[in-house]
Amino acid sequence: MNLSETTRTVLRLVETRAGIPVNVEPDPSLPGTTLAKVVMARGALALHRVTFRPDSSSPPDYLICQQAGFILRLFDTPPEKRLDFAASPEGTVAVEQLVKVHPVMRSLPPTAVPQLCQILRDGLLSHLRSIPLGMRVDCWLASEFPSLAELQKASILRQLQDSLATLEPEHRQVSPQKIYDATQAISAAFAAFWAGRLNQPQLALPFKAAGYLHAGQELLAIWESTPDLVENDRAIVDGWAEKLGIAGWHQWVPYSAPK
Amino acid sequence: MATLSFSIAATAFDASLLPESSRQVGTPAFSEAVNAFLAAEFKGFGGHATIRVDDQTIAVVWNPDKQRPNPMTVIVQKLQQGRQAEGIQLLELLLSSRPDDPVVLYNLGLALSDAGRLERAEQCLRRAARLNPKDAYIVVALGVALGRLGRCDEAVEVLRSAVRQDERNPWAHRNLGAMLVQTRKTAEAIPHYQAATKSLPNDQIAWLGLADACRLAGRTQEAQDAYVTAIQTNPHSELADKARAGSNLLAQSDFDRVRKVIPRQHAVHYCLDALKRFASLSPGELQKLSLELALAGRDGFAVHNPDSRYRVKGLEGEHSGLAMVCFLYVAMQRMAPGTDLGFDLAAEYEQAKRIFNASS
Repeated sequence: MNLSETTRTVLRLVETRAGIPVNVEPDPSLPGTTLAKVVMARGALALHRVTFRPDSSSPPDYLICQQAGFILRLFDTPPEKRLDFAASPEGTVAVEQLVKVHPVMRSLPPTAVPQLCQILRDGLLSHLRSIPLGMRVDCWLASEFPSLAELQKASILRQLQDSLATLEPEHRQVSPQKIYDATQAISAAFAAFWAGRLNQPQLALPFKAAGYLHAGQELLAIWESTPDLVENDRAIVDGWAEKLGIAGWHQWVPYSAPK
Repeated sequence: MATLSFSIAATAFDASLLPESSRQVGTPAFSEAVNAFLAAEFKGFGGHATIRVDDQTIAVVWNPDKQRPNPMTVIVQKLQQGRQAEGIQLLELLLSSRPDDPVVLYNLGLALSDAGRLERAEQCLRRAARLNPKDAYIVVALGVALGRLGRCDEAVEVLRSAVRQDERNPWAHRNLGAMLVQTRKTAEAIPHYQAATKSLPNDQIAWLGLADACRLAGRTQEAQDAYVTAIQTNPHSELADKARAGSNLLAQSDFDRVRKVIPRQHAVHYCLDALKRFASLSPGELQKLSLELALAGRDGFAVHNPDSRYRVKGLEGEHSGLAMVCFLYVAMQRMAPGTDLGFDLAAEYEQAKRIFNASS
C-alpha cells in the first residue's frame, strides 16, 4: 500500500507508544457512511486493525491517521485507567421502550425490532464517542501534521455532507425523537466546530434551520471548557450524554489488553 | 468549498427563527418567511443559493461559485429536484431564444416525457435527433417516449438503432431490454440487460430488469442471482422490495414445480423434522430462530436447487433451500398461526402435525 511519509510516521508513533503493531487494510464493505474504523488490540488479538473505505479520488492517509489517533489517546492513558466504551443494559432498555411506541413499529414485523433497536442504539453511542474524541484527534493532527490539512478538510466536508443527509424527512420519520434529536445535536456540534475552524459559517446553517444549532453549541461549550488531556475523554463523553438526556445509556469497562 | 445541499421537513424548521405571524407551516407566509430567512443567511456567504419551500419540504442547494451559474445547469437542477413545471417553462423560454439548440431540445423532451406530455416530447426529441444525429442519448430518450406513448414496436426499433449507434451505451441497452420485455421478447431482452449491468454494475433498475427477464424466460438460476444482486445493491429501496417480490414469485413457481416432480413427502418430512426440533424451544428461542431463518432467507431461498445449502446458528448442520422454507413455515405457524409467507405448505404442515402428534 502506497502510504505517505506522514502516515508512516504516525503509524510508527503508535507502534512505539502502544508497543503493538498496527495492521492497515482497505475494506470496501464498511457499513453506511463509515469511512474508516479501528479495532483495538485486545485479548487474543495482538494487533490494532485499521480499515478504511477505498476511494480512488482521495488517498486514505488522513483516515488512517485519524484512527491511529484514537489508538494513541487510549494508550496515552495509564494502563489501569484504560477503558472501553460500551452500551449499557439501561441504554438497551431505553431504546427498546422508545422504539416500541414509535409509529415505525406498525410497519415492521416483530422479529425485526431487536435488530432495529441495536442499530439505533449503536449508531447513537458511536456518534456520542467518536465525534468529540475525533475532534480532539483532528486538532492534534492539524497542529502536528499540517501536510494532512487538505485531506482532512476534504474528509470533514464529506462527513458534514453525509450528516446533512440525515436531516431529510425520511430519516426523521424512522427514528424515535429522543434518539434523532441527540444524534442531530452531536452533528450540529461537529458542524459548528468546523464552521469556526474553516471559517465557513454556512456549514452550521442547516442545523440552525432545523433547530439543533443551539444544542450543538452547548455540547461544544462542554468540549471547549474541558482541558485537552486524554484522561478527560471520558468526562467529555459523559458530559455530552448528560446534556443530551441519555446519561446511563453507555458504560465504561476495563480495557482488556492483549495477552 | 464544495456545493452544500440539504433538505428538511417543513415541520422540522425552527419556527422561532421566523416572525410570529409567519410560523404556520403550509401557509404562503411561512414559505415566504423561510425563503427570505435562508436567502438572507446565504447572501452573507457569497455564492448562489437555490431555495425551494413547499408544504412538505425545504430544500437548499448552495453553490460557492460567485458567478451566476449556467441557466441550463440551474434548470437541470430544478428538474432533478422534481420542479418539472418550472423547469419546462424555463426550457421553453430558453428554446425561444435558442430554437436549434439540441441540448435544450433534448432536456425539454426528457422533461416533457417525464411529465407525461408525450406528443410534444416526441416532437422535441425528433428535432434534437435531426440536429445532432450522432448523439445516442437523444435516440434513447425518443425510444422511451415512444414506449410511454404505447407505440412499443416503434420504440423497440428506435432503441435498437440507439444500440447500433453506440453499442457501449448502457441506457440504450437497459431501455431496449425493458421494451423487449414489454413486447414479450424476453429471451432477446436478456443480453441487453446483461450489457447494461456490465457497464453499470450498481444500477438496481438494470439488475431488476435482468432478473425479471430471466424469470419470464424460465432461466431460474440466473434470475435468482440477479434478484440477489438487485437487492444487495440497495437493500432499503423500493426497487429492492420489487426484487424481493420477484424472488418470491420465482421461488413459489419453482416450489410448485418442485412439488410436482419430487415426492410431496419431502416437505412433510422437513416439517416433521422442524416440529421435533422446535418442540423443546421456549417462545423466546423460537422467535430468535425464526428471525435467523427470516434473515437467511431475506433474499429468497433457492428451493429449486437441491444442492443449495444454508446454515443458521440456531439449527445444527446445513440445510437445503426447501428445508429452510419448511423450517421457517413451521416456526411462523407455531408463533403466529395463519401467517402467509408466500408459500402454501398448509397441507404438508397438517400431515406432519398428525404424524408428530401420533408419535408423541
